[in-house]
Amino acid sequence: MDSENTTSVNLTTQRRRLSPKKWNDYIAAYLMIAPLSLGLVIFYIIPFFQSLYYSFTNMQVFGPSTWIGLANFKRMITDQSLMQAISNSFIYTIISVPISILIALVLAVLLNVNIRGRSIYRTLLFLPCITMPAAIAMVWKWFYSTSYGLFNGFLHIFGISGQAWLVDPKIVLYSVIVVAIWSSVGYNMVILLAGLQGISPQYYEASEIDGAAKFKQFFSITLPLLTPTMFFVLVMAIMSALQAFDIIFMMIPYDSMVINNVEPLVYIFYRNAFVFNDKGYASAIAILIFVIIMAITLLQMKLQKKWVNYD
Amino acid sequence: MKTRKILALLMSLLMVVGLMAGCSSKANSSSSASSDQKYTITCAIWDTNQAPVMKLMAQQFTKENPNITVDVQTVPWGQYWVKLQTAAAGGECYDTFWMSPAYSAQYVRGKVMMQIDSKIKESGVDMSQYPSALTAMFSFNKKTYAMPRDRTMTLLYYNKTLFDVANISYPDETWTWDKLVQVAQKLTNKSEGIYGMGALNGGEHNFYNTIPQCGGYVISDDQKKSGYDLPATQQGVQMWVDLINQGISPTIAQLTDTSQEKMFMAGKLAMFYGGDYNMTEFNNSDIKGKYDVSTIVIVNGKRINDVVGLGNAIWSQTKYPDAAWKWTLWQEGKEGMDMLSNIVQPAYTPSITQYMAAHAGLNTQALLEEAKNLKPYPSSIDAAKWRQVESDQMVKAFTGQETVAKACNDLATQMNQLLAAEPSMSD
Repeated sequence: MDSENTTSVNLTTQRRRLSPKKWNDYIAAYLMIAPLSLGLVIFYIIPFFQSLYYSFTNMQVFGPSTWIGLANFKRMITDQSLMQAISNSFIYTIISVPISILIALVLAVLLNVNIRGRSIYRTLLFLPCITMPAAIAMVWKWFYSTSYGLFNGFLHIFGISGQAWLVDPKIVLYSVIVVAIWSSVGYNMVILLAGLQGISPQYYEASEIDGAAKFKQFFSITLPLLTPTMFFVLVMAIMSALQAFDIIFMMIPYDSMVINNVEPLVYIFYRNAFVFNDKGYASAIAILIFVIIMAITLLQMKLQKKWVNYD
Repeated sequence: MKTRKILALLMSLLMVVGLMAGCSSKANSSSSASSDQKYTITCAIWDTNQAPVMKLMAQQFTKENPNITVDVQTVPWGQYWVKLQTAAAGGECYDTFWMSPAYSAQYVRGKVMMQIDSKIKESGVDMSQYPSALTAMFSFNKKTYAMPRDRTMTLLYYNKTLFDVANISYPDETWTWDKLVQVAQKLTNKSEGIYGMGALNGGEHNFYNTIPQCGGYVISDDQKKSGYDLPATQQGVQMWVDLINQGISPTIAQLTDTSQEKMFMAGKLAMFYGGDYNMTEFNNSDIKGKYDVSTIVIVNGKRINDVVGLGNAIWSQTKYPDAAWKWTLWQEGKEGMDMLSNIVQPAYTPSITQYMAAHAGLNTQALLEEAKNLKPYPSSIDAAKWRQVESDQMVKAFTGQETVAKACNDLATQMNQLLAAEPSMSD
C-alpha cells in the first residue's frame, strides 16, 4: 500500500485525477459486482417497491387496480386470522430458535473434539439441511399420520393411544415446530463449529496451566469468544423462522381444518394472494412481514453491544 | 494479474448469460401464422392421471394435422391456478388450457379466454350434443368462452366385499337416503375401524347434491344471494352431519388425515360419494374388481346430480388461434371424445357408449340414469372468497362446534356481503 503512495508524486498534488491503474481497478471492480447487483436490483429492489405500491391498491387477479390508500392496512388491524398468524409465527420463532441453537451449540462442542468418525457424525447431522423440503414434508407427514404413522404405531406398542399430530388444533403448531428444529440444527451446528475452530487453542492451554476444569473453560472461554458467531446464527435463525413456509405448506394443505392454528405469516400471505386472489391485501401483509423482521433485526443490532464480544 | 482479471470478467459474463438463458422458457418455433408452416401449441392440464391419454390424443391429432404439434404440459392442481393467472397476467399464457367452472367467471371477466361463438358457427358444431348444464358453466351473457370437455357426476361407490360378508344386497337406483343410512349402520364396525358411509365437509360430490334435492340452493341463479339461510338448504347439510354424529362416518379429523378415497381403497369405508374420475385411480389399486358404483340415492323423491365438468379454453391472445381452435374442435369431436372416454366421462353425448364399454364390469348404467337431471356447479366471479368462508363454517358444523343452523346462517350473512362486493361481469 505504501508503494502506491510513493510511486507518483502527482497524487499528493492532484488528488482528484486518478492514475490509470486506479481507474482500471475501479472499473474492473464495478464490472465484477455488476451481475450480482443487477440481479439484486431486478429481482429484489424493484419488486419490493412494486409490492409497496400494490399494498396501497385493491389489486385482484386480473384487470386494473385502484388506489385505496391505507385501507388494506386498516383492514389488517381487525383481521382475526392475521392476528392468529402473527401469534403463530412468534410462538414458532420463540420456541424453535433458542432450542435449535442450544442443541446445535452442544453438538458443535461435542463434535469439535477429535473423536473417531466425527466427520461422519457431522455429515449426518447436516443432511437435513440439504434435503429437499418436499422430501422432508412427505416423510414427516407419514411419521405424524394419525392412523398409519410411525409415531403412533410406536406408541401403540406401549399401549399409549396416539395423538392427532397434524389434525389436532392444539398440538399441530408444536408438531410443525419439531420439524423446524430438526431441519435447522445441522445448519446452525456447522456455523457454530466454524466459530469454535476460530478460537485459538492458546486460551485453553493457558487456562489448563491455571488449573481450570472443562466446564469453567466452556463458560469462561468458549462462550464469550463464540458470541460473534452466535449473534450471526441468532439473527439468521430468527429471520428464517419468521419467513418459514415451504415445509409447513407441504405438510398442511390450505384447506385443512386446522389451518388457522398453524399458519405462519408467509402462509397467510400466500392464501390471500393465491387462494383468495386478493393481491393488494396480500402485498400489505408482505410489507408488514418486512417491517416486523426489520424491526427485530435492528433491535438485535442495537443489543449486540451488550453481549457480543469482539476482541 | 491482467489475465486473472480478464478471466474473472469472462466468468461473470458467462454467468449472466447463463442466467438469462435459464430464465427464458418459451421455446416456440414459428412467429408468423401461415397455414403451411409448422406450429407448436401448448396445452395445460392439471390431472397427472390423464396425462398419458392426453399425450396419445395429441399424437393422434398431429397424425391427422401434420403441421400442428401439441405440447401437453401437466401442472399439478395445487399450482395450476397460480401458474395460469401469472402466465395470463404476464402475457405469456398457454395456447389452450383446461378451465374449471369454479374459476370460469373470473377468467372470463379477466378477458383471458377467447369467445368462440363465431368459431362454433363457422365449424358447424352441433351444441345439442353437449348437455346444456355443462355449456351453461362456460357461457356468460349468452356468449360462449369454452367448450365442455367432460362431465363429472357424483356416484355412490361401494365395497362389494364388505357387502358380501354382511350378506346385504348391493345398492341400486331405488335406494333412498333412509335406506342408505340403514345399510351403512349395519356395515359400520367400530372395532375393526370400518365405517359405513363417508361424510365430508365439502360441497362438491357431497351436499351440493343433497341441497337441491331438499329444495334449497347454494347460490341464486343471478349469483347475488346465498341460499344457506334457507331451512331446505340447511337440511341438505344436516343429513351429512348426522352421519358423523351417529358414528356411521369417520370424523372430519380422521378424514383430514386419511382421505375418503384412501380409506375406501384400504377397505375401511364401505360407501362414499365420489366423482366418476375416481374409477381410474381405483382400477390401478388393490380394490380393483372389488368395488362397484351406483346412482346417488333419492332424497325427497328427487335425484339431482350436481355436475362439474371442465372445459377446453383458448387463450384470448394466442398467436395461433386457428391451430388452437383446430385442436379444440378435434378434442370435441367423436374421435377425440372416444379416446377421452377411456378415462373420463365425455361431455359429448354420443361418446357415452364408448365410455361404458371402456368401463365394462362396472355399473356405468348408473350414469345414464343420473344424466337425466343435472344441475350446474354453483359459482360466481369471485367465488374463491366465499368458498373459504363456506369451508370454515362447514368445519364448525361438521366437527360439532356449532349447530348446522347457526353455521349456515353466519355463512349466508358473510356470503351475501361478499357477493354484494363482487364486480359485475362487464366492467
